[in-house]
Amino acid sequence: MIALIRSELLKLRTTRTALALIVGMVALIVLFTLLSGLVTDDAFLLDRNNQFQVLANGSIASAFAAVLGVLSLTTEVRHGTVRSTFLAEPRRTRVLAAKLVAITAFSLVLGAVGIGLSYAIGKICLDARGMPWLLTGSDVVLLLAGAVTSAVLWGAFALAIGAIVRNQVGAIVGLLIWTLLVESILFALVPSVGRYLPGQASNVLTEIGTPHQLPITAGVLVFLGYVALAAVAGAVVTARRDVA
Amino acid sequence: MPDAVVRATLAAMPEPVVSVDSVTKRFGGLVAVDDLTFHLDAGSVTGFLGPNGAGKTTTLRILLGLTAQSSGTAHVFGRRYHDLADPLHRVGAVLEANDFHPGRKGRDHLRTLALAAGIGTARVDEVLRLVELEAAGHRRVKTYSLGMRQRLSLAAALLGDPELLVLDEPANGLDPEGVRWLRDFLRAFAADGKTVFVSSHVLAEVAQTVDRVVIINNGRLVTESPLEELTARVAGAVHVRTPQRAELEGALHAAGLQTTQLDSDELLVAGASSAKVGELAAVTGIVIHELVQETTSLEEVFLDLTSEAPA
Repeated sequence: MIALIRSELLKLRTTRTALALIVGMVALIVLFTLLSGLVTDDAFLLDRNNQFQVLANGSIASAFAAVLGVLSLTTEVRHGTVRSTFLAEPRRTRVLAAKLVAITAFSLVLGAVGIGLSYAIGKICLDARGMPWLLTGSDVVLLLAGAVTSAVLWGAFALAIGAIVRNQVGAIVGLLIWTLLVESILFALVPSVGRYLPGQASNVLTEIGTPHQLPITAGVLVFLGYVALAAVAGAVVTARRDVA
Repeated sequence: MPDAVVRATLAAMPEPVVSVDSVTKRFGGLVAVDDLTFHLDAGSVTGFLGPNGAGKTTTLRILLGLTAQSSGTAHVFGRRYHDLADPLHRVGAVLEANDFHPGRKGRDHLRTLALAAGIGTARVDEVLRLVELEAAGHRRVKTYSLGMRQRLSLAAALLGDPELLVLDEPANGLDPEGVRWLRDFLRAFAADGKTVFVSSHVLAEVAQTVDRVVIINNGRLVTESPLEELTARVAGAVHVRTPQRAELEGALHAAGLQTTQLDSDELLVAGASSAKVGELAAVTGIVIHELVQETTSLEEVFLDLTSEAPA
């Protein structure tokens, strides 16, 4: 199993994809944090929820972890390397488990780098503008731990979705449409139902003060349930389906 | 025979390296492989032949556990591929020429497989040398020619120093030099007593390499035989034109030859040489207007075997 995990980590390190995602993520977080920390009104920043929002720009790492997760198996399907992968280890569930560990490790790094960056830049902006610090100790714990947890769970969830869908473009576009469009609309129209959807449930890790959201523990448990469900489904279909 | 003798005889018989028994694969309503049975012994070099769409690729993928058969059993070394303890050390496979991430370097591709199979980096460099890709191994695969990709696939198949090599249409897209290189390589591999199973839709590609053939068409076995049996079918025929057709016919029949009348003055003589027909005509004083030796190629025999009306 250790050998398989090392193989998966090597796969991530030997194409430019992971590096490009990290560079893109860092650039985006620096830009967003600077914009929201410097260009906003004083009144905007004199609000606890808004301060949290500025410092939590790094939680966009979850989206990058999700892309990395989706690509893990779908790229192998697209380029045909899945064949040699399954010839080297015919027990496909073990391959998926190794991918899960590797993606979790990379997601952890993405989450930590992302939130570390936005926290540091955001705090410098607030201090430079002489804004009072409105966040509580537990806010800061949620801000840091929530973003990292969210990135890790999204990496795993997307890996499983990729295993189910298998088509690279289909999986990415599907996830985007689902989270940005379907869930947002449902949450806006019927929040009592919408808040139980995976994306909205996961938002409890990266937002505070959003109306109608689930309590944090409930949200995390609901999202964990989705991750577990998708992982089991992904493992079952991967074991059963023919590799064309 | 007493049971003990049967058991002892069975035990003494070498286990087939590949056993495909009554394998059927349906894709919806389409039957891709239809009750296929064949066996390969250790040390044989077998050509897996049939036209495109005959079911060769599907059969190979079933054998390697990538595709699940609808019924039947497909074993390598007496068990399912899935149940092999160290698959890359037993079986090496080249399925597609281009199963690589274009942005990954050739050597890195091999390293990811080697890691998964518990094979050291020294062996990675060894197989790269073997397929003459030492320098190119440090370049990204997208810069490779098709021939280089084929050789990288082969290098991946050889990583575990396997006893059985399975190749699906390895000559596709290779230039003549590449085909010759592959042929020499497979011969050397088989000379070590290892087993090769190589598919092709063109017999000529593998005729100089294989000693046995398994021919399939429409998913069904057409023939499984030594190559010599196939070559034996390459018999000559003589095309002859004479104004004395009836007399010649009589003389040929008397000599034990079979004839087919093509026209009022034309005959086709099966399994004869033009010399023999000419001599017979001279002895019997028959006038000959035309005498042509016709040869069937091995390829024609193959096409003949695989052109039977589809079900």
